[in-house]
Amino acid sequence: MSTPAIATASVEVPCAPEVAFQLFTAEIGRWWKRGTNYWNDADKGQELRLEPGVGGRLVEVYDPETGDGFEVGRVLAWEPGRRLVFTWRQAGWEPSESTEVEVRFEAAGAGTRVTVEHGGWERVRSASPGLSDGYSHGWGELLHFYTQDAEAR
Amino acid sequence: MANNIDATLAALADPTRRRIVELLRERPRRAGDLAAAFEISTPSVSRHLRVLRHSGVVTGHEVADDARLRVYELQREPFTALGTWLDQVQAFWTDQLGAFREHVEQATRAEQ
Repeated sequence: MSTPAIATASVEVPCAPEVAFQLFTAEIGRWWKRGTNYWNDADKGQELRLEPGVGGRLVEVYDPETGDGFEVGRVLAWEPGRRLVFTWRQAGWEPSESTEVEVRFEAAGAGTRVTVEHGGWERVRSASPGLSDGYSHGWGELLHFYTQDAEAR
Repeated sequence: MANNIDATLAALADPTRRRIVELLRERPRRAGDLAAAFEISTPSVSRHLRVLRHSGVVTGHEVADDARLRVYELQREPFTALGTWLDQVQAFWTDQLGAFREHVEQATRAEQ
């Protein structure tokens, strides 16, 4: 994913990559901030749950007892201590539409650099059924030109 | 995601329309000039221009009664809005990663 239509963020944490991965995934319900959760239902959402392993679900839990809630995405890559990839969709999108979040864990000094890349926005076409034919990666480049232009002004 | 961003993404999710946008990026052009740049028919170029216009990505200025003389120009706002959207996503993740670091710091402190 080298197109620039990607949102990135990173942080350094004071523990080994394996520990960072473990805390990021198993304890996501404890650190994930609810207030800023404007993606889906901030009122009903109680916590986030991530099931371990490829195919595991990422769920915005509305009922902690049953685990019911909105399925945000599924795990595509599960490499403890190194890399985590999951799909990410928003309520209201078509079932086939989803973006992709990649989280990398890299040793940095005594700690770990955790980098998030959130891309795949060009796959979201809620307003335009049937436009997938002939799609290429050109969109990302185009957006890059224009955000550059916008910044230069 | 705001509807207008959906419309922008939809408008750009087509190779012909992206090519039109690239041409308009150089300078405003007449519909007839744009049609000449493509191997597809003039009516289908017109259809693409209509999609771009309805999404707000381009504007078309009528200079005469002849539609071929209409001058198309790129609009900056939809692209700025897309950039803003990505900035918001980025801010969201930066915020969440900040919360994650706090959690790690608490967890590792508790261990020591």
